[in-house]
Amino acid sequence: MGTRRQSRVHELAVLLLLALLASTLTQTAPPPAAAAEPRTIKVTTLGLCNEVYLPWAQEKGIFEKHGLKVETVRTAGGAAGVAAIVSGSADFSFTNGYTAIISYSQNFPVRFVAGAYETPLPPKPDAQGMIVKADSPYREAKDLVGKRVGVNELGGVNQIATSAWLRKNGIDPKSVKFVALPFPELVPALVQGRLDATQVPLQSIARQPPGTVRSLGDPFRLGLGKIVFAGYLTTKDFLEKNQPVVEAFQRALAESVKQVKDPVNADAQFAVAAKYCNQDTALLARMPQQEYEAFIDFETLKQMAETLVVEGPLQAAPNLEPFVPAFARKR
Amino acid sequence: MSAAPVGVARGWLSGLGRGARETLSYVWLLGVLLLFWQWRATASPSPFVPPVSDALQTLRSEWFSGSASQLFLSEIFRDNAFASLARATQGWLVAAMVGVSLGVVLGVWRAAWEFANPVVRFGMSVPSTVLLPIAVVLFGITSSMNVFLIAFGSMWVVLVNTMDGVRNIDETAMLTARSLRLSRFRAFSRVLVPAASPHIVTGLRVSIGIALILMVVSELFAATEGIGYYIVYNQRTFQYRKVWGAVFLLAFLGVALNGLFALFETWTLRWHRARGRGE
Amino acid sequence: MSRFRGALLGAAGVATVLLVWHGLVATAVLDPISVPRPVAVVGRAADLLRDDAFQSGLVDTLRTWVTALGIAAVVAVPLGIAAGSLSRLDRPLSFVVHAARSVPSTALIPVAILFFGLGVRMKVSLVIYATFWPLLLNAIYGARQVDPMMTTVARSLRWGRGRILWRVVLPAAAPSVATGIRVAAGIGLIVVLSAELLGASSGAGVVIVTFQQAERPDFVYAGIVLIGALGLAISAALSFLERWALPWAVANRR
Repeated sequence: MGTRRQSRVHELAVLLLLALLASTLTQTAPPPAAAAEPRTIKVTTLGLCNEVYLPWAQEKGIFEKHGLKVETVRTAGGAAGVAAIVSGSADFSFTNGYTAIISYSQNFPVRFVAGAYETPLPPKPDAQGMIVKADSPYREAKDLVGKRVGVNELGGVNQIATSAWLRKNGIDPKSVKFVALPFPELVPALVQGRLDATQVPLQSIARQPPGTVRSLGDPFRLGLGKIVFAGYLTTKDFLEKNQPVVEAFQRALAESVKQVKDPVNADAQFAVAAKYCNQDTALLARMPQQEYEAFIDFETLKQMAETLVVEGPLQAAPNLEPFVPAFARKR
Repeated sequence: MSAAPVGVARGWLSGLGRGARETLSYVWLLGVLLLFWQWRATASPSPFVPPVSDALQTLRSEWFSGSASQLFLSEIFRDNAFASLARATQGWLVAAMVGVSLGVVLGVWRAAWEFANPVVRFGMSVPSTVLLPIAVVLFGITSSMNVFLIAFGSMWVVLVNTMDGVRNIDETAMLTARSLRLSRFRAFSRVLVPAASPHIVTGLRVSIGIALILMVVSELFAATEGIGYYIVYNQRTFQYRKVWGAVFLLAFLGVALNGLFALFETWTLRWHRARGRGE
Repeated sequence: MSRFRGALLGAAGVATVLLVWHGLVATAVLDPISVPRPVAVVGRAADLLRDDAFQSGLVDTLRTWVTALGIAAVVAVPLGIAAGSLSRLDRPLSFVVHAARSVPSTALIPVAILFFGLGVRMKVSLVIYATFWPLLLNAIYGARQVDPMMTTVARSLRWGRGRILWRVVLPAAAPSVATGIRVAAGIGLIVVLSAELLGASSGAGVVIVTFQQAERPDFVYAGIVLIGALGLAISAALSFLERWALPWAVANRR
């Protein structure tokens, strides 16, 4: 009798604990910071050398000039970045162009409000390569049919570029065996003979002794032409409530990009980038640079959406008009 | 006479009722939590967390939409789930064999344990993502690499639990074995392992969960199909309904595998308890 | 004397592994570009220990790990023990555990970010999620391990449920709970690291990722070695605590 009541009490206590637990798990994220002068904004970063314009703007006071204070937040990019801005724990997300389009087409409330960089076009040197061993018999795209090609992520921009390049050469991408490995593993796997070819930025082979590997070409340039490689997303909400701040951010980026591309600043720029991404300055200076660009080429973006439909991640190209506000577009 | 079939029917119905009640006793808490989720998701919708109903619908349409002759398993299931489960099973079996045998050795032989202890503790703290380069070198870019990662990650729990089980054995059990002048091998197989079996079985059971997780995580790289690959691909293309559908599939698989293992566990423990009473 | 011998043997074990590693890299069985030599790694490890960024990252990681483990233990252990002794709750709870446990935290990272942002809270929530189940499972198991004769005796002495829980169930369950804590600690460390390697904004794993991206595997391995050494230290501390708190469990061991 007494034990029955006690067991009932215990069960209730346990259920109460469970309810408490459930409620802590469904806590909502904290609301965004109120406006202040200068306005603090949180921008995600991957710590890449290519993001040099960001630490440059911070060091040279460009953000301050536009009334902004930038706090960087590290992420692994992609879904994490979009999750960050949707949850309010970041205001801007540094995102790959294709990922940005895909998230928008899946009805995530995002807007593409600034560019970061595009792919460089001739006569500038290639930035990416389809790397094979120097002594292998592969010379052109069609030699890769049935072979194992390494990319950073399946379904990622490197695979899209490679598939587009294969298609331009009349080859069905399905006839190639794509394998995904993290960036640092791709070239070692090639050298060990585990892969027949791999698509990596040319700076990844800088460490290899000369003459061990060579490139069949730049699949981005040959397959896709110019693309908006990366840019900044923000939420529709944030844009509507803070348009002046967003425009100021984009203008600050544009100014920083202009300075970074000025040959007068070359050495200083490499030093800033090397510190930012834990690299060696001299090594960085020898590597091909991306084409920094803070305005978004809207026509190019539309073509990228078409590519996504062809390569599979999207069923239909979305209407990109609301996606990119006018101030962010290249004139 | 005429009372008999009625009695049979009544018995069958009450059996059914008992079966339903038993299932309910397992499932009610999960049901409550899912209803809570459904309520919150429909009240404040988020693109990352769809309502339970959507997730379950996607689960059915993606994974279980095959014809009856294929056990309702869709092509996606056959392409992905079978591959993943095959890898997980192989990895787990390796982990079980290596973990139990090493665990017994380390539990019995104190010097061996002291020798291996720092290395074991170290190995337990290393995430499989970090082992990738070594795994690729040893196994190339094949399923075996994933199997290795799964086995390596699941092994430690089995090892530690087996070791604990062996070391926790009552002195009397070992004294009994010695007084009966059992050979070393006999002492191991007839006394030691059975006495440690509850711990060993717990270790094996926990490692199933770990193996399932590693099955998914190891498919982040060097995989072209599998449940983990499906989840990661859909995460990247922001198709969160499919991600949650797959999450539910994993939960379902976890329950099914654990249920199977629980049956096995009851069988060994019953035998263990019987032996205990006999002694 | 035996403790000295133990330490010596342990050191010998580590030395053997290092020698094998060195041999494999020297003979190029393991590609020297992606797997550095142990000597290089030790050197970088020393550098890392002196590096401010790594130090603060390490503190961050540890703090996350301890917080998460603490919260998970405080909730899971009493819950598990209570559930293990109440057959009515034992089944449904185990069922939920088995369902939830099979879902890796990596799949839930975006959801965690959505709820908790990019900072420490996100990592803590993932680690709680991952460590909760082994703690719970081991506590349930421990509670069920109680010798039924003791509960019968206790009940015949007219002991209340609480007293039985406290005086009979808890001590019997303690070794299992201790194992659970040790396992959860290991899992927790791995999950913190994985979360940091895959998407968090601070912590030792994040430092390691920057080196991974800069293609400095010597630093990457150095970081991993340091974290592994940390795991070692933690499990040693836990074993020590276990021996101190539960001497009767140890007494049964040879």
